[in-house]
Amino acid sequence: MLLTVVALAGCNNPTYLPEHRPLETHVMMVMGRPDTGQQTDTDLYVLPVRRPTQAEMKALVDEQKQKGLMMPIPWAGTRDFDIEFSYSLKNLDATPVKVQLQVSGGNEFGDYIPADYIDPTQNAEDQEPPPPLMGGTPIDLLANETKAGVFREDDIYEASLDLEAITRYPDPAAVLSTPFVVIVHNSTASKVGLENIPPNDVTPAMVRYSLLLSANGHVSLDYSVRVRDHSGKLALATDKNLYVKTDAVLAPPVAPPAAAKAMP
Amino acid sequence: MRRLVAAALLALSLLAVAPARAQVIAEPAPPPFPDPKKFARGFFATGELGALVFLGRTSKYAAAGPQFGVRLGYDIFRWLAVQVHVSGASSDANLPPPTLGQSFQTYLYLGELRASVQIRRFGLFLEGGAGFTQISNNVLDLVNITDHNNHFSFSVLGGAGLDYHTLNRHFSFGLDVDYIWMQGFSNTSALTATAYLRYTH
Repeated sequence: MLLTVVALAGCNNPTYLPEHRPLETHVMMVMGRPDTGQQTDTDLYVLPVRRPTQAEMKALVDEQKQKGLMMPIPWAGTRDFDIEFSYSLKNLDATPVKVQLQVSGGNEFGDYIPADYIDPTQNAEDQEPPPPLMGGTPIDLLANETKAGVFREDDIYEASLDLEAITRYPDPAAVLSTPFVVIVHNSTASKVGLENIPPNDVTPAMVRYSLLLSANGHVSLDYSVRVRDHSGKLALATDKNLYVKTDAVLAPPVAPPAAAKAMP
Repeated sequence: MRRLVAAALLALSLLAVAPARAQVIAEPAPPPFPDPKKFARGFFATGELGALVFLGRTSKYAAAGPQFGVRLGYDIFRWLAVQVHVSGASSDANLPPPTLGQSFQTYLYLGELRASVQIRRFGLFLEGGAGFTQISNNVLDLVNITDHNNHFSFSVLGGAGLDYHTLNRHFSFGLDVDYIWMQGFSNTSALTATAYLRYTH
């Protein structure tokens, strides 16, 4: 009985992962005066996922065949992880600042980089990148104020679904516009932009988080990641030789034309 | 003839008289005061409900939370029992940003001895034991209470309580306060206060 109680006590408990490093914007001095323009800091956080065994790899291939999918089944899927991303922004200045946190990134197959989806055929003033997967709302911080925020599990599930539509199953005739369409629509209300995802698809989890902190002052960002690991695939952050690549950029399977041209 | 009439009259008079009944002429005797020797003794099960409060540095990061538990045991003597104690408590984690709004559970798995003194329907008891405590996740890693390799801790419990026996020989209830020391969680300690109901077979 005791063993059963212990086993039940360990069911579906979250694991809290530390940040890779805090982000911080530094105010530059220009001609002896502080530069009040936008300062930025970026970093990439990669979820530590263990490598599959041979048998697990074979099971993924078998599942792909059985489902008749064109694209491979992800090892790190949304069925395996529920992820929550908590953050706090601290104004280190004695004056109010405006700050933005943008989170894009990718899954195990590739990244979404908003700048790659600028349409060069548009007028110069219309050549805007699509929004990030999460965040991007300007936040006002008073002097020395700290504000906390969270991207909930359902936010990250939605971002994972958007990533799937953008990086593996975009509309072939409108690859560039896919992020504009899917990111602004919530899939629970509208399936616009998601039509090309097969109904029996297994959605890859967003496991690469590209963080962009920008502020017109001295601001720091701390974050922590909470993961509910349903399949025993999470590794320790200190483990080596993990599954998800830590390259600065991962080319997506279906790249936008401009990015595809730029790739060797 | 006269004798026959007399006999008939006697019979009629006997029929007319109401039957005799017993008459209460004094207060009924009070029920005998429960004899503790007649209280059930042997295997028992206790269900408890209360609160767990962390003490010391951990109390900065962990709020008090509700606790539920069971104790299963056996009365070796009227004054001494052995028991297994399993309980769980849920606490909010009060951590500095960015980790806000999180919680964790604390589970106790202990073997205990209970010594008691019965004074009529009241029992005073002391209990102590040892075993393991488990914290359900690693949220307290962030403040160095737990570390990622260790969510179990050797623990020692000591406490006291007051038991009140009902008129039913099997049931009693009471209050119990315990102190728990958790060696593996940075020497954290906690207090639990519970109300319980016990059934002794």
